[in-house]
Amino acid sequence: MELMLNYDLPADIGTIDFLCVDLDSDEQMQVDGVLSDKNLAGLAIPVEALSGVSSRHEVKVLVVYLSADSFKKKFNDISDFKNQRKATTLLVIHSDLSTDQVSQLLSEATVFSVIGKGESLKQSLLKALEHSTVQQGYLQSLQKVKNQNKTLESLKENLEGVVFERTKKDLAASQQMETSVKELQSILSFIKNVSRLESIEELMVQVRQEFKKIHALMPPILMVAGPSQDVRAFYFQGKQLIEKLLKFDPLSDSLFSTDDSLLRKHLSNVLGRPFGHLSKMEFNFHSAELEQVKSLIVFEHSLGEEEQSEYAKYWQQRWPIVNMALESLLLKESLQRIARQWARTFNNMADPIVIVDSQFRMSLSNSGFHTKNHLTCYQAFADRETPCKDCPIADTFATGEPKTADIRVADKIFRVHSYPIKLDDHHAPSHVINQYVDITQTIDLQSKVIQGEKMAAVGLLAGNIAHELNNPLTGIFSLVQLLLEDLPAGSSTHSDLTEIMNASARCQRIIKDLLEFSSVGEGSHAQSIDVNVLLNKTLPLLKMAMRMLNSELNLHSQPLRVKANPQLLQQVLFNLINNACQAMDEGGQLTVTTECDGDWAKIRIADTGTGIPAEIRDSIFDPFFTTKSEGKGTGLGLSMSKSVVERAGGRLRLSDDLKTGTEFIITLPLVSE
Amino acid sequence: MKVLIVDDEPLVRRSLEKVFTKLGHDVVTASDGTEGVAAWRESEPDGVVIDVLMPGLTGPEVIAEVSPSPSTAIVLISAYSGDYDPDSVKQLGADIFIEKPFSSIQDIVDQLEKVWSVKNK
Repeated sequence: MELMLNYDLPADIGTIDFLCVDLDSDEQMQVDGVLSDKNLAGLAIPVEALSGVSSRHEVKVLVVYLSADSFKKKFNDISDFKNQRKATTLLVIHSDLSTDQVSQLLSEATVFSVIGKGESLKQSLLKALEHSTVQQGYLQSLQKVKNQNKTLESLKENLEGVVFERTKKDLAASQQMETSVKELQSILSFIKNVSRLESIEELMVQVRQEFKKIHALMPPILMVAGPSQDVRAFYFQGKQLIEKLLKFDPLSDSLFSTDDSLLRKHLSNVLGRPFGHLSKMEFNFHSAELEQVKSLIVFEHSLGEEEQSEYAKYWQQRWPIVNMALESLLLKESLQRIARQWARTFNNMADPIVIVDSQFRMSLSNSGFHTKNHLTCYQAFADRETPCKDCPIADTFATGEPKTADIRVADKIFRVHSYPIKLDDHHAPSHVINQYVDITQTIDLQSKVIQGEKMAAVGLLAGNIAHELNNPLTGIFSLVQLLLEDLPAGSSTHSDLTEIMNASARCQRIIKDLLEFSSVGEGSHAQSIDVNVLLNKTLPLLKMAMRMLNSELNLHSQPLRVKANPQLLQQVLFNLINNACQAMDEGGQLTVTTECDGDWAKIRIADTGTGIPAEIRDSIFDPFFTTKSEGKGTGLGLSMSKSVVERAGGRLRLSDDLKTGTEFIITLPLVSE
Repeated sequence: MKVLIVDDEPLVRRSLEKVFTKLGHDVVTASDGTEGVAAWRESEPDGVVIDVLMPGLTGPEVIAEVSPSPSTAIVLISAYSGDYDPDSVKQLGADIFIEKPFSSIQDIVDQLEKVWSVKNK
């Protein structure tokens, strides 16, 4: 053991296992014994040096001698020392210390062990050393725990900080999401509103509503250009939306150029006021139908710098929606326009057209077809309760092929073309389109032509015969004339010859009338003729027909002059009188009357035959209506008679006054000369 | 006056002959176109009454064939009216046209005499 008398300890001493203070030599020796045994380090110092021991040196055990008289003094040093060194174990060797002092040492100074002087130290030393080691360990553990606590503390603080940051972030994020959700909801509700629109007007109202949130904006102005040269401007005046048609020259391209000044000028013209800042948004349409159409929307605004970006973002979210809605509305308008054109075309087609199903019920008809409240085509078109005779509809449904047939409705003939409508070639047609072409005129014309040709043939024959007869008749007449000149006036031969002459004169007249009658269409024109005279010329031609009948001729006392083609009118009279005679094949009374009725000449031809049945009364003037068999019947037919009279400005009708028999009445306007 | 009458109807010839003869004219007759040509050439009449439609040569054809002298008065008669107006009658080489049947046979004579006197002033 080194005895240190100096207070400065050598620097190279590290751990002092035993620090001895005030031990006697015996005690010192015991310590040394342990030191060398265990190969430990020890040091002995005076108590004054105790406080000078640097804390840098670890002291495991402090062995110190205390006596009662030095107690007070040493006690403080020891306490101080111990206070500084928690790990140091105190071993006190004492002599004559009181129990109180010992207990004080044990409690206040936390002395490990107190042993009396003279006792064996070894055990105590070893115990103390052990205790110190344990204490050291304990203290180290304590320190570790303290350190760990500190680490934990700081960790805890860190975590708190992190959590705080995180929470802040999450909050911010959630707020942002809330904002986004709100935005999305707003956009969604905009989409919903815009999807239910029927017109551009409604779209404008929605857009105005949607952009009202941005206070610095004025209500929107929409311009739609094309497909023609015109531009439609939609703008608000107060609550009301105005649509104005603008004519632009040159092309409306000027509106869509990048130069706003032109747009501003046009707007000023339209709304009659100057404009401030303009925000213009062009639309983009993809449909082929809208290729020629351009559109833009304009907001007049007073947005500040900062507000501009919010406005831009607002538009960016909404532009596709408005674009799509506008495109859809414009397409709808275009479609409606086309549908109207089709409907107009369909309705303006001259021929009546109707679409029917297999039960003849009408699905669609054009304006040429008057449906009124009827269900079927035959009710509406022909006023019938059953399908028309010869109707081709049933045939078309049966065969699935287009069919054509002629039907008669009232006094007209229609050529009906039935076209099947079917999904494909495998299905029977579901519907049929019927087109009704009025061919009355054509048929009429055809029958006139046929009649005319017939008449021409007959006329030719009659003409030939007439000429053939003329020759001998001329001879007879002339010779008789001469003979009469030579004979005395009173003689019987004279009177006989006179009769012969009269007879041949009559022959000549009949032939002349026949020639006149048969010379149809040889350039004869309407002339002023006396109806009475015409009748007188015609009646002889019918002598054969009239031979079995009673006949009464009541001619008006004055001439009744009308303007007509004499040949044709004569043929009409011939026809009617002939018909009358033929209706009385069992005998009867024929009455022919001419009379004057104001400005009209009236010719009545009446018979006492069976009369005309009610159901055919309307048909008798039809072009090919006939009760006579083929080949019979000369003359024109009632239809031509009617048209001849009508062409002369008159009327031919069947009298409905008669109870029995038939009376035809010809009315013609009188002419003065 | 020497008068030629060409017509295929015997009664017409007979009556015309009778009436002309009664008034003191010389009458030659022919019953068809061919005969008519021969008779015309032979007799050289002053006046001719000729029917249009006859078997063989027609009246106009006869006139064309004969090429009458300008002093001859020619009356065309026919049952066919309507086709002839004064100009076409002249074109056919005749002077006037009278329609059959005759209202009075005397009328023929009067017309022929009138034409002849005009032509032979």
